[in-house]
Amino acid sequence: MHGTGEHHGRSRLALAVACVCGTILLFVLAAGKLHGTGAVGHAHEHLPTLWGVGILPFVLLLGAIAILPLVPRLAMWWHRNLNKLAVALFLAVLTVGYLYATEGVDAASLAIDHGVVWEFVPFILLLFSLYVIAGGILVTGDLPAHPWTNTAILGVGALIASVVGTTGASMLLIRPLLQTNSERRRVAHTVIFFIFIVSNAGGCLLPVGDPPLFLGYLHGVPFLWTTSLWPEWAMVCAALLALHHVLDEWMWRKERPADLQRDESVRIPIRVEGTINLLWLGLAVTAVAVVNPHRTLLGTDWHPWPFIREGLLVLFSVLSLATTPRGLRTRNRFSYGAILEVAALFGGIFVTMQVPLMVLLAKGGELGIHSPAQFFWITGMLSSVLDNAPTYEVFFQTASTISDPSMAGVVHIDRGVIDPALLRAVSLGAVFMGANTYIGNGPNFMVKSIAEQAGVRMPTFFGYMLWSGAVLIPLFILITIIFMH
Amino acid sequence: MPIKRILVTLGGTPFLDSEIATAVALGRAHGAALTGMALIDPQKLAAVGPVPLGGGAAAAELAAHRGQEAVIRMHVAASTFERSCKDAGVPCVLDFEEGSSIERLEMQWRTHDLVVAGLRGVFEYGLVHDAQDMVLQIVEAGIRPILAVALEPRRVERVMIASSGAHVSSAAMKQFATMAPYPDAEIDLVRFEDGGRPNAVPLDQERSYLEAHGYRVHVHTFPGPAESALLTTAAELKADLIVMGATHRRRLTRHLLGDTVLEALTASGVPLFLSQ
Repeated sequence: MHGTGEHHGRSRLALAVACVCGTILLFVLAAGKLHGTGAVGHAHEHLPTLWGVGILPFVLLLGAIAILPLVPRLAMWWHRNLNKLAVALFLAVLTVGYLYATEGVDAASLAIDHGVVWEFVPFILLLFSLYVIAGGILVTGDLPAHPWTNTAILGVGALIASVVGTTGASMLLIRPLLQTNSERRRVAHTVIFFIFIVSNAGGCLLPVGDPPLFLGYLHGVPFLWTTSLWPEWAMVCAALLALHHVLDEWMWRKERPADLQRDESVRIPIRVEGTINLLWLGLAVTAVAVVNPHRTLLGTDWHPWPFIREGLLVLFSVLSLATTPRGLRTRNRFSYGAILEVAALFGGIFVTMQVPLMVLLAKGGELGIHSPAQFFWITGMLSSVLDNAPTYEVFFQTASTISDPSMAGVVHIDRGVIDPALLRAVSLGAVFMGANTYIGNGPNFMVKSIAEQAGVRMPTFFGYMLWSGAVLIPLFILITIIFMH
Repeated sequence: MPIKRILVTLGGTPFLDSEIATAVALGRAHGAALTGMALIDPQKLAAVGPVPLGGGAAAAELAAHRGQEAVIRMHVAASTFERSCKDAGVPCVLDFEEGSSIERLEMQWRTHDLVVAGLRGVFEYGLVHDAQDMVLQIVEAGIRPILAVALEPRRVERVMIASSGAHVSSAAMKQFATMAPYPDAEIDLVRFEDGGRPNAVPLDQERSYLEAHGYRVHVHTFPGPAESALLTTAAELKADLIVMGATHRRRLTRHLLGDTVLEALTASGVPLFLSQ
């Protein structure tokens, strides 16, 4: 009883902290609006005073995300989304307080305007809609687990990940893959390649494929620009599929004949339920592609009003919830846990990130990162251990500050230009290298968790890194040699 | 020292069937009672490793799944053990524990003569990976002797005693000889000459000690370090069991500098009788 009382007490405290911090943020936002800048984007491109202090909340928030789940005494506390929200908002308030003290109310208000209104809201609503819609599609079936079958499932994942998102594609395909392989004993390698291909590399062709690319789109990168990454996408996916196939052939031959016989005897054709969600998915992707308040609507000279796109995404999510057959989401083991966690933290990430971004705008050229290869590896290595969306944003800004506007072929973004070779490197580093560890990308851990629950003995954290070190790193070195000029 | 009580770890590992068969055979041969110890370590089951942003729900789901599955698998292991003992007419009791495996094992060991465990996995239930040197950690916690069994149970007719002539290796040899789990086995007393060890007990003295306990002994010496040659020698001699002592060293030192026992635990297909 004592424990429960203490637990409720802590929850109330977290709720109170979140409410107070949220109110402060709203108040500062309103104060800035009344004060009257109304500008969109970073007002200050000079180095803020005491910037070393100003970036601390961002560093602390990323540190908390990485370290607190590993501290046994704090892991349970951190697990609650309300506590995450309280920490994220508290650090956001510290950032805003710092900006208020050093730069004035306009800068503080602008940080909230930029971080929450123009980045967090579109970002989380896109993730939410893709998550909800993909969660309404259920793929079932049990095919004979021949190497060709497994490679084909991974190949389909590589093709759809850019449209459904890497999380959506992983949610759709991991269960039929595991069901298909349920009679086999050597399955872990297929799940590992699934993480490499479907949960990561496959998603680089459209902004809806992976959250960092959507951030780029929010900053003005044209919707179809990412399709120009197809040579790297094709090379990585083809190499991984070929390698998986060879490995799976070898593993398949080592299976016990009785297990293979059992596998052959169980055949359940692939069945897709909740297909109405394919319509909502298509409409959601089209809305993201076509409705952009910074550009005119295709074939007209009308600039869509702000948040029409987000309104449409909410509408398609509601329609998905309303039209998905009852019970399907339960069978899909759909829950809002993952998206609520992302929502609880990302508001704080986007606000606390404003100071590091200001620092990068002022000093980005002095970091000594200039070549595409450097951008690819630094973005990639940080994306392997931190969330790839903020990592992308940081190096996107850095690349933008050092890009020469007079250069031919630059990509025009909302606040200037960006060298396409650097944008390419940052995008690929963030998307591809999320596969290096279980924590590089949200779906990686989700897939590991589902596979373990299905009885697959997945490698440990470092065991998985041995796989990525042996398979992915040589491939990325090859990508650097061939493409990063 | 006769064997009267044997502690068997029921950890749902691939070694379980071999553990039970070995313990039951020893129980019958020595008129010993068995205690089957099933243990769940909630902290270990909940430790799902680093979690990415957005992975909290999946981590919680995985931890909950592990907890439920461990209970099911623990009871399956316990009932397999109980049935095997009943079929063989060996008296047995079950002990269900919760907490740190080494701590709980140490408590139970105080009233047992021998611990039977798997070579590479003690309380895993197919859900979490035990440390590669888990058995070694158990020995270092003062729980000894341990009979770490291989995947397939085997009739023990030839025993290889790896002797370095040092204190720990002689102690292991003495414990094996006095406990006599396999009194009819032939002994291959093996020493690897690796530059000579000061104060090493001469092989002849160890041989006569074993003969005094009624064993038939063959003495062999081989050049080179034991780490690299132990398992190949055991295979050449067709040993069914290797007896060796474990020196107390820090885990990091063992992993960095190499260690004969660690090497044997990692790669052996032959059971080990370990003492420290």
